[in-house]
Amino acid sequence: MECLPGEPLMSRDNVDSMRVPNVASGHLPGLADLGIQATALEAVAAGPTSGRLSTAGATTAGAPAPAASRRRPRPQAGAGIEEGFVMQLVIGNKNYSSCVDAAGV
Amino acid sequence: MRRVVHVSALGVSLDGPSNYLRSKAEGEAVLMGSGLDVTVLRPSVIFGSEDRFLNLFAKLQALAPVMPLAGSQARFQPVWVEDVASAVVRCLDRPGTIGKIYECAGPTPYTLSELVRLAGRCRATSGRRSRCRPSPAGCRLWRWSACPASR
Repeated sequence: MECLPGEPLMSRDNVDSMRVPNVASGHLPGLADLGIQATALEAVAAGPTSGRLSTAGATTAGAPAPAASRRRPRPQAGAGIEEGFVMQLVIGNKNYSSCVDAAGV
Repeated sequence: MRRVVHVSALGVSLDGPSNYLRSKAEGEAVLMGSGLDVTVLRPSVIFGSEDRFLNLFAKLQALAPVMPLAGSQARFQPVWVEDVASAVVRCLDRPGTIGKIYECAGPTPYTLSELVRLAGRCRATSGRRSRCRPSPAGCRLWRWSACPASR
């Protein structure tokens, strides 16, 4: 990806960053200590988005949601989540995964 | 200007595995020793309507049937851009946050494989009509995101 034309999609340094877990340690205060209830990814990504994640339906605790985002996302026709599969390929010390969604693309 | 809310990243360390994580740690150290009124936020990967992480993977899956993916088992706890924006505002409003470090993470950890599959499903179920309604706070903050693809 680093070698593709244009702005690099992902660099070696990005991959190096992923060698450590990017999850909360639990040893430091978090959003809840600021009075914020963390929003689930699924709640934000539920709407049809033309290839982009929708913000519809998600709210931030403690702050009134704008009218446009008060509505919960409605299930869309054909939006039943179907499982895809992941192929993993190990070459040398590198691990590659191929993710294919249910639509086969 | 004395008040600073610094958006850093989860996993920062002076001996971290990447330039990004090391430089973030150095930035934190400089600010914390500056004498300014500093609060540090350490978000996990940030997602939102314009992010360059999940949207990138969604677009790639629209172009290619198979996607090579390094670090597929790397773990993330994605946090919504508007939650991070709210955290910045709350810190500015609360003097008690000065000198503290907050981890900003979503409710659920995922592996990169799981996130990429989720992005693919979002793309597969999306229509042509956009329903993106980013809030002004979200619009401002996504550009500062700690998404790996934007580093």
